[in-house]
Amino acid sequence: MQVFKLYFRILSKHTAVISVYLSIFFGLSLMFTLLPSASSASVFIPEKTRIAVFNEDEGAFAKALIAHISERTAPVQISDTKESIEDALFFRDVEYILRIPRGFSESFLKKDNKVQLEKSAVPLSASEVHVDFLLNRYLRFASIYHGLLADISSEQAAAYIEEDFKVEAKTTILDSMLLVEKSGSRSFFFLYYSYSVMAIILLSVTTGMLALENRNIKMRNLASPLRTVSLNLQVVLGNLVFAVAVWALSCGLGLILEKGGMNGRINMLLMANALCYTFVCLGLGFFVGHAIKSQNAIHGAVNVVSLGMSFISGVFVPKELLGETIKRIASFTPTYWYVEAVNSISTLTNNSSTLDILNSMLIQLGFAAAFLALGLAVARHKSLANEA
Amino acid sequence: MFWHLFSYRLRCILRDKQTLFWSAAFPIVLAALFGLAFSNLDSNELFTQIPVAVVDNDAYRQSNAFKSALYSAASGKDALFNPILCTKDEAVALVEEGSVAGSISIGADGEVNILVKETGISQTILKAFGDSFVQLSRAFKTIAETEAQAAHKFASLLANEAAYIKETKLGAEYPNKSVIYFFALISMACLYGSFHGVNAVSSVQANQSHVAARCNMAPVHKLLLFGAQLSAALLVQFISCLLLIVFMKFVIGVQFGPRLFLIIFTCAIGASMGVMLGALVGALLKQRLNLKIGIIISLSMVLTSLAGLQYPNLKYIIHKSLPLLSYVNPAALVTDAFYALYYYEGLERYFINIGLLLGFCAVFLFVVYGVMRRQKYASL
Amino acid sequence: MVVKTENLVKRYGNVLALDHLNLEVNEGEVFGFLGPNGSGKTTAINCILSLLKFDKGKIEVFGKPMSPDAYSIKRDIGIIMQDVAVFDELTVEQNIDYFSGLYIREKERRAELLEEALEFVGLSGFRKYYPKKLSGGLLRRLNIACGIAHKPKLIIFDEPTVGVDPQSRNNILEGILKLNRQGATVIYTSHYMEEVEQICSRIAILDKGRIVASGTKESLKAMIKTGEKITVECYGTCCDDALSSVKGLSGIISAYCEDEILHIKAGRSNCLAGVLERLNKSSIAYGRIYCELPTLNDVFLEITGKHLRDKEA
Repeated sequence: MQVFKLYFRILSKHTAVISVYLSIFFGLSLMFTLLPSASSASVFIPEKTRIAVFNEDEGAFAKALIAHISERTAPVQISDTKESIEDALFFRDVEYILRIPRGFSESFLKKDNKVQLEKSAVPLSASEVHVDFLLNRYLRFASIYHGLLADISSEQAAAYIEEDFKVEAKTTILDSMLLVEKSGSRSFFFLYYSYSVMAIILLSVTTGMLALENRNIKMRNLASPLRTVSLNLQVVLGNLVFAVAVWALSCGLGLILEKGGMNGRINMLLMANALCYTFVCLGLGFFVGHAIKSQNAIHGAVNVVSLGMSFISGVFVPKELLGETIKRIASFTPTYWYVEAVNSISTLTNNSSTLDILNSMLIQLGFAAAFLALGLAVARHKSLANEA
Repeated sequence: MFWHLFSYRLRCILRDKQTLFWSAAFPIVLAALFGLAFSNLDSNELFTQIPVAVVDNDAYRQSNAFKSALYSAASGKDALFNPILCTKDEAVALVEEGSVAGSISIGADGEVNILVKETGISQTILKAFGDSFVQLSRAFKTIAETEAQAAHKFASLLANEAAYIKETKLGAEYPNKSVIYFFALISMACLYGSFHGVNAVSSVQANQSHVAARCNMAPVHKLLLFGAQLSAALLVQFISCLLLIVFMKFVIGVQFGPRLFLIIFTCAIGASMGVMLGALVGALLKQRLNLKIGIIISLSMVLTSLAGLQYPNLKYIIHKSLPLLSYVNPAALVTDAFYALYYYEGLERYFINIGLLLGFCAVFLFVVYGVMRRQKYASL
Repeated sequence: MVVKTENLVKRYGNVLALDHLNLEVNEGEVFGFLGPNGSGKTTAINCILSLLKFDKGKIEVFGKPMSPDAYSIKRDIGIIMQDVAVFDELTVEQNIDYFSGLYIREKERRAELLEEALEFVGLSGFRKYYPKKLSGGLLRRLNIACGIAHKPKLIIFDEPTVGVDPQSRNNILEGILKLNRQGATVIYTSHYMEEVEQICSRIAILDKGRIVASGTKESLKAMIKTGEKITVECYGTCCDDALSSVKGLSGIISAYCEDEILHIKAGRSNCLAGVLERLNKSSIAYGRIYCELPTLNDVFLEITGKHLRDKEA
């Protein structure tokens, strides 16, 4: 098992770089798991726009307005400086900023319309339209009550309005499915896994192979009484052991992060899918390792392949947001099918079929086999015996 | 003499394909991939008129109130809906196939029914509209019960479209989050200038390369030698970054804002920071070149991740909750400088970033100078 | 005096690399610096060049103290290092021009020097080649050209022939002599005693950072007892009787037989006749006979008790 041991000795020289990728991965995963995640269910839950409200008015009317709007949006606390508001808007920490200027209540009740609400929003966005609608609706109701019922107090009007708002249109969800709670964090964890595992395995497999593929070392190995089959098997075994270890470590962490609300079947599927993808990375690493000449080129290839595939396949950016063309291009990469499977698994219902998911996994395994074959072809092409 | 050193160094850099790939071509390749991936991203949250199936039943035909409410919500430049009149079965089919956000129908008793397939912002707006209709009906009833004579003014009040809200514009440009991916990518390209920095140092430190030992034997002041190497590296890195920006702006269409001069200036500062960082790594570590490259790549992966390369909000979160971390991360500073140029009207934040970056350059250069000044070595 | 060191001491941790080294190189000579691997030759050179810090001692070059910024001294030094030190990214002529450009500003003068250097090392046909495309021998020649193009007064060759085929090696050695004839002082370090014997007028033998002997090669050889080495290929074993009778001859220092070969060391020359006579007497049949004058290896062997070079594998 000399070669096998050698492989791990070489890897241990690159612990630093490998642990950087692992820690970026684990760090981001941890962060996302701790962040609250969106969920969807069988009842209609209105979308809540993230909104920041700054109230400079002391009137009761403004308070009622805020209470009303807060209930229908997701209020976010940010500090009231231009910079922090601008930042928050840019990064969508809030999508709508409402400022109630001093004297608004009074001006509104007097109907002179001198003091207006001030808003800032992501321009032309649906959330802007939504919050505008909510605000205008409330103000319209208020203006009706104050306009038609003389001497009505703010409190009285607010009570009427709240009463009115208790009635709602009856909303039904078609084919109301019993959606399993979408676990945003878990699916993020497994999405991001594709990036880090690709980077880590490509890096380690190609590094190990490059050391063994060094022409002189290769000649020395070939000249030794070690059988070629055994040599290759030991390399394969080394890669396999490492890859499975990375997979097991990642899944273990995933399980720890997800200790509550687990669904055994979904976890099994996610892990199986991740294992398939791990094999894809191994195959790709095998191919790239044969096609590449220097250590520096490895870093280049690792970065371009892992980051590139992840971006076009919807690892970092939700898949729905990608263009049609890019999705079509991405479907020629294994990452696309991995992401596809992760998305299907995390929206899996108790009685829906897993056929699509298995299909995606099979496609991934197909990619793994194809990369392996390509790698073998390149290896044969540039084997010593073929040298002129 | 400077010109001699500089021009030959330039030739060496331009022949060094591998380093050039890293510092110039690789970011452009990634930028192209980003461009492909995000071509659709901006339009996603833009509001487009919501297609709604409206069930054309008896109640609909008889309810003028509903019709006029729908009409006012579906006309004008602020129209919310794009209604399609159809039968109940057709409406269900349209909802099913997803060509409308939902269907809305009014019942004989004035109750409103909404059918959707999923919940999203469009459905939420549709529901708010439906709610608002039934709620207005109830408000009308309430008023009619309390003060019957006022009820006739209801319609005119309803038609009153007083503007209660005025908009205050924030930011100089559209808050387009996806530019952060590109700005972070520029910061990565800047950091990859480190390769040139490392090479510049190793080609004058006698204990790092044979060529450097030979150069040290020439009657040339070492700092002049180093200055020439560094200048060549800076020039190449600056041009690489500039090319990246040109590619982003004119091929991909990334918006940078109108301050052309400052954009180029930022590019120069960022490139300098990268080269100096590399010089620092090169001067402080005596290990093999491969290890240095490994360190630079790892470092730049971490720093650019924190600057939002994979997930732009990470930059925001860090800036909000751990501001110190974003001030000591040169990649975040470069990203933030471009962000501030693009999005802020004022230049205060921009200059804070640039100031810190210049500070970093100065500190790096100072340390490098301290190491370089040493002209004799304990071992070679 | 071109180079002078006084009590130069250099330590690497606990290892004493240079042990009170005293060295004098005169103008116009080819000074050989001979020693086994690890004896401190390169360290001494690097100290002389002010690349390395040293712990104690004084160094003068051209009669002036040497320091990293003694540019007027550096201007007249050429250095050819043990390892090839050229830019892979530059062509042969660009490399030479770059390095000579560090010494000479005028472009026209440099162009002349470039031609001379190319001519000198015989690389005129390879001027547009990149170093990666050159064979080992040619690369060594480029390495030399880069060091001598600016016509230095002092040229230091630090094992320039390591890993070079015999033909290129002779080429290089002849070149060095030519440079010397043109007026350059040469310091030549090597662990190949044949080379040093061939070209050096004065030699210092270095061991463990100390100079164990120095002088012209004749004076070095005169320092040792061995005057002549006689090797006799015997047919059959040389019996003890014959061996002791050979040893009995006057002037014989030692004699031993190994694998049917008789090795004899004599203190003076002209012992061969006596040795053959004794062998004849003992009826020892013999074939080829060699008679050699002592080499620097013998000098080294006798002074330090070990071979200058590890036995070649």
